[in-house]
Amino acid sequence: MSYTAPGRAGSLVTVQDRYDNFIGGKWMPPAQGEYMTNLCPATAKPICEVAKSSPEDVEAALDAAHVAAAEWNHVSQATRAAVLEKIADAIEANAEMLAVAESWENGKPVRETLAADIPLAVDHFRYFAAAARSMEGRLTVIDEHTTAYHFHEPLGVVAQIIPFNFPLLMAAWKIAPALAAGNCTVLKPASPTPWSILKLAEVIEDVVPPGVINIVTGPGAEVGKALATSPRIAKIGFTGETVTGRLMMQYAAENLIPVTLELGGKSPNVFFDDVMAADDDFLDKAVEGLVLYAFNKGEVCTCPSRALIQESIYDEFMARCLDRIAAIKQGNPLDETTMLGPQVSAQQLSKISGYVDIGRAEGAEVLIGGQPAKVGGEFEKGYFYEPTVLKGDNKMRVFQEEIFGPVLAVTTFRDEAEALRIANDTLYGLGAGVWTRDTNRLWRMSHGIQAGRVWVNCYHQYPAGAAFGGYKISGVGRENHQMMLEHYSQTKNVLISTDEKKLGLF
Amino acid sequence: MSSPRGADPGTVLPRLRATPAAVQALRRVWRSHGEVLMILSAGCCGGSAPMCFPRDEFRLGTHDVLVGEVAGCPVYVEQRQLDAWPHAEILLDVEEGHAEGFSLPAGEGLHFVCWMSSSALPRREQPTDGRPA
Repeated sequence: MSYTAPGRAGSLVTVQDRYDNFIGGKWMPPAQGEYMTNLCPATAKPICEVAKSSPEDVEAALDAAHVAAAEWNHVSQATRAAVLEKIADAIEANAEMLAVAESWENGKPVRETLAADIPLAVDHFRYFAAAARSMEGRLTVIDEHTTAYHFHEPLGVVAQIIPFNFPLLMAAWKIAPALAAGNCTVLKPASPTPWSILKLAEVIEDVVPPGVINIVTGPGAEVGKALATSPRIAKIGFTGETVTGRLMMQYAAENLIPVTLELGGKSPNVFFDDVMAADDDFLDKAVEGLVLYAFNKGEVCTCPSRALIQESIYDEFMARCLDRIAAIKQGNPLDETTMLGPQVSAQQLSKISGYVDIGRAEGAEVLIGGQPAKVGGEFEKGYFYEPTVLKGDNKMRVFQEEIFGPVLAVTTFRDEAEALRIANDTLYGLGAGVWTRDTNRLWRMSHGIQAGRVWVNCYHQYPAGAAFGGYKISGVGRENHQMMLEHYSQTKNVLISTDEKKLGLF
Repeated sequence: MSSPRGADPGTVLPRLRATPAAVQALRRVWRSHGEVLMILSAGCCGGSAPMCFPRDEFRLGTHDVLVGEVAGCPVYVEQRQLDAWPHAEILLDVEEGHAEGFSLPAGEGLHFVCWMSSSALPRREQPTDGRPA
């Protein structure tokens, strides 16, 4: 079955010609009156226009956030939890609509948004509702007359800047802990994907107090900068690439505020020979585990984009994987049988093509794919790229640089020591996968790999409650776990003396 | 403020070139924003893209290496990237699309891109469009 495209007769998703910023619970036209066209990557045709905001709009959003913060920073944990629950319920009630909107704007297949993006966003708000409700301070009895109490207090108003690859889920990852800890937020969506988040705002606008969540769309160099440099924010949460990550730290340094960064990756996915010890469900799962490089078109910071396969099983295991890859159905992202949609933008497509050319020039062997995909009809001009596998050497650029597309770089290893060496031979340390039936080996490998998330005998699972974040140049801080509440809170220490006697110094 | 201290000994700097379109775009940016610099990013959504900032906007670090200048704009690559991703040549260009991250656009609806060849492995002949392989 295929969903009707947003805006057309019979679609679950209504589309306005243009969208304003969501500020203070209202839809506010951009101060300069400028808008930018928002394209559908499957057709390369416009979906709508969104505000091309300027620094004045950021100031208006910060004004609204600070007005709201005067109350929201002080509401009870139960009230915060109740609002997060209502957000989750509202998203759940509109799950199909949001899944279709997200798919149409980003290009990701609707089977993924229905099964992953939207349910995970719902669950994320529920998780942080529970976490908010159960937040506890701590106390330390220093001595019989002295007690140190520790209370969490909200930071105030935070800035959150998110990427194009999971617009709604990244919004949930950012917004939920910020609100749970009692903060108000000003969120800037990525330039290629501003619209589905505005559809989310439509869904939740009646359940969130005005000004607690504010959304301003527009270019990073103006809007993002105005937000991240504002002395009126208490924290920056950012997901993106390394140079902007450095810029965020620089801006945060100017205002002496904390920053959380989720940056890139070039994640190894390691398959040991015992994976093929039996032809069973586990082997079938491992094959899918390799093919997950094509999940979300490879536009995932944790994309398992380097497959390391033990030499002794390479031929047979890879043959099974290539059969599975050859069966990937590519096309209309709104068709429920589609497994691979278009890349998010023409520039991503261009970058991917460029990297595959580089791979070829470096001597990598193209095992499958290797060119833009032809999808006819309405999708003739969409940004499709064939699922691709390049066999080569870990020193090649296609093994070292993040391509952000459905391109897998595969190589072999002889033994565990070599597997670990290759796995760690990267500037990044975000994700990794280890596939083995040997429990001792999975333990050694998962501890040896320098990455914030090591999936063992699974991949691309993002349950709330499992901390997510990077080692090395992949970022600073963690998300997706109640420890985030600490990252979005101040610690107030109240040190109380019950001693009637003076110190005796003066 | 710290400043780049130059490449580590033994680093082979990539050759930097630019297409006429990139040179024109940098002159436009210079006229509208004053002096700018470029630094090559890595990873995730806007990764592997040249980021263009007003000269005093981005704080260069000790390990950012100057690899050359285009139309008066200095271009930097971080030492770790030079080590891990040896480039024989970087060709700066412009394409249609949103500017990446917080980078200045290369003009209305345009952004900067770079094409790089690798020096780590044997190279083939350059394709006829002038882009490094």
